[in-house]
Amino acid sequence: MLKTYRYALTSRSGSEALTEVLRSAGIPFLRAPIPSSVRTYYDSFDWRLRKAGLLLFTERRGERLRLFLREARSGLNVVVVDVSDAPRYSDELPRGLIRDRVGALLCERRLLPVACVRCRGESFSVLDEEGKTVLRANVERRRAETGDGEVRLPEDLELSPLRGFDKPLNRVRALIERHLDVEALPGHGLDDALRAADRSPQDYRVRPRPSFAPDEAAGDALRVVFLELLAVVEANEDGMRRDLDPAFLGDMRSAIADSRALLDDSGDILTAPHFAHYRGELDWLLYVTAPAHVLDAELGGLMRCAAACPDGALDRFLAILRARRMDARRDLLQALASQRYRAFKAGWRAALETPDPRWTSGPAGTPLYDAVRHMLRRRLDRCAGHGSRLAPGAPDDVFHALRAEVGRLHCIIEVFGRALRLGDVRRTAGVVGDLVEALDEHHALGGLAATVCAQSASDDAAGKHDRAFQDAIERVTADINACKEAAAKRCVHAYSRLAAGVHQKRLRLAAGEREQETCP
Amino acid sequence: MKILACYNIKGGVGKTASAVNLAWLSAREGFRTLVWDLDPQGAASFYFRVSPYVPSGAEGLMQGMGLRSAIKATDHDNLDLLPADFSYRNLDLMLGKAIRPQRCLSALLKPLETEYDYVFLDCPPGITLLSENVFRATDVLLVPTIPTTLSLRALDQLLKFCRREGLNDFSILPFFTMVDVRRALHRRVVDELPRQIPAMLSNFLPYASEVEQMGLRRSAVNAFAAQSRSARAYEDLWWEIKMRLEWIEDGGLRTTYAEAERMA
Repeated sequence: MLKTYRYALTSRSGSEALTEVLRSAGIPFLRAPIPSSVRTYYDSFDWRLRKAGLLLFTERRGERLRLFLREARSGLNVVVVDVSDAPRYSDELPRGLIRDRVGALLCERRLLPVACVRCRGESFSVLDEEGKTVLRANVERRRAETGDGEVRLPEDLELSPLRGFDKPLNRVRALIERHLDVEALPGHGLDDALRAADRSPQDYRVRPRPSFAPDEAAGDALRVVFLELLAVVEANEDGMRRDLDPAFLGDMRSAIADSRALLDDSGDILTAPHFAHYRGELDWLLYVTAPAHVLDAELGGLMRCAAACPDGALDRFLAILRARRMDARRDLLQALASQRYRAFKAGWRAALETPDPRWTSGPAGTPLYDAVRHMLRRRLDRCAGHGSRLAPGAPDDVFHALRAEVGRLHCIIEVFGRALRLGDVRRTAGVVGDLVEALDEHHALGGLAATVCAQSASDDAAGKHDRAFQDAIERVTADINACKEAAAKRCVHAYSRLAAGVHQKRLRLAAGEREQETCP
Repeated sequence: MKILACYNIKGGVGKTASAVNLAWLSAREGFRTLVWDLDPQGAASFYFRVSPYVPSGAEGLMQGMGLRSAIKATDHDNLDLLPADFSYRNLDLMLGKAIRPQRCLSALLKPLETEYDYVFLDCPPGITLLSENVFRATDVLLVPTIPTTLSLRALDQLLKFCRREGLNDFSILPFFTMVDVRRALHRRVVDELPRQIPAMLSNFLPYASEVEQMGLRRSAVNAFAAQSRSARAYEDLWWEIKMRLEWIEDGGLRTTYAEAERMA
């Protein structure tokens, strides 16, 4: 398979050494200096491109800015294109494969600069008898930007083959490995830059998945989970404060909601009164983060709808929502800068880190396996209670109640399912995840419909009669309702998958019930 | 993947130059582009400095062997070439032996569907079995036409042939090349013909020395003379072709030979 080869040059100047090797072998080549360039790597906050084996980076040389989509494994360029600005969202990417592939992975996530490398060096074009380039080699001196300054990376020699010209690659590669003092470099440029900045690509976390022993004290295991969830809250704080992507707030909230849900579910294990205090504080955090999060979702939904409306028809409404979001974010940032938030974090961390019999003795000492099965059973029963009322035309309350329960069920499966080997329950996690997703979408669309309706009513009350705006609102409302209806159907479908057959059986078995009790 | 064939019954009208320059522009915009040099003369391969040689030969390609391995990267990003081979002169004979002789080319290109956004076919002149294969495989037939009597006659022949054979599932986009605005005949034809054939592209390529220099520089005009009149004309032409492709995709405009003839 065609791939790029990278070497770290250990002793002498790479360019001179390579020139000498190529000359002595009688290989024709062109040598040109690479002017100072800045390579910036992009990915979403949750490293979606990297996980899909892709590298997206821009390279600025003077005025020219080029965007590269590269396969991480082979190091080969998929697409290279000149751009005027670095893209921030997938719809700002050039049309064609680059937008199709990256857009499908990113969805609405923002592209964030994850690493930056400054390069200088020289490029070599190995030629054939027609004067055509059959192999490219770059010798680069690189400096990676870190938070505190710049770190020098080893001088690197990269051989980039061209499709259909394998022989020159193999020949030059053999020469380099025989005659130059080189060391094969694993990975790619992004890896080098991240290592230099002391970062790892997986330093972003959403839901923790620690490992446990089944007979571990449930209280102690929960303590570990709470610590991890607190770390997730803290990891997302900076991105949320800088407003890099709405997903930072979304994931921060998820971690808070998971902590709150697990504290609730473990009410009969963690019985000490001070847990009630933290339940209250987590409730407060959910309360203060809600408005900004809801507005993020509404703005996202409305912007999607606006694309189908005439240009500018919804601008006034978007401006109103943006202003509300700014207010909500200001309140949120104030809350997070408050003494109460600092005290909560410090107190909660101290409570989690300090050895304390409250985590291990009494009911908290229950084996984790039993405790989780109990939690699962209780949550399943509640889901079944609300789920039995679910139908495409059911009132929103039914969907909301089920959403709260299924979200918690998903959390238990995700956090403990793998570690405790609760039968095949992990294979059901995907179905529960689908249901959570559909319920979330239904919920968000319901919120957006209510906001649109309220805005329209407020315009009417104020005597504003903007025909174009009203037309757009009507169209958007119809779109939202259609999407909500579709989401409701997906919810019912996902729930029916979960409530029947193999998934229900797995869940019930995991919860410690006998097979004959499986049908809700 | 969109397949665009540069084709004309007549030779020397600028098929290869158009295919090379339009493909270069497509690649520059970030579209993964392949040029298939179907002409045994191998002019497109020459422009890209690639030897006109396919290891499996035309016979191997027709049997579906070695198509991928025959593809060569050019010196330009996103732009690959399937080079010509002298054995292509026997393509018609080989196609004649196939089970579905008129569908071989589409079947061969099918596996490349996910690899490329645009495939440009640089066709040899004449109406042969290979031409019919091109008509069946292509989405758009780009017909470079010199505004002279013989060239217009060739365009007319092409339209009649397509009607007779019932080839109506692609769009024909003729455009003028080598236009010398100092000549009265060229001016008149360029002015009048688009009114008769609405599919005719409004942008045309002027007669210019840069296009001839492609042979010396062995590269696309835009690569070595980006500010020249020809380079700008190719850019405008490529923009118009993309617009037409979008319209065709949207079902808004699908100008086939029948429509063109009716309008005429």
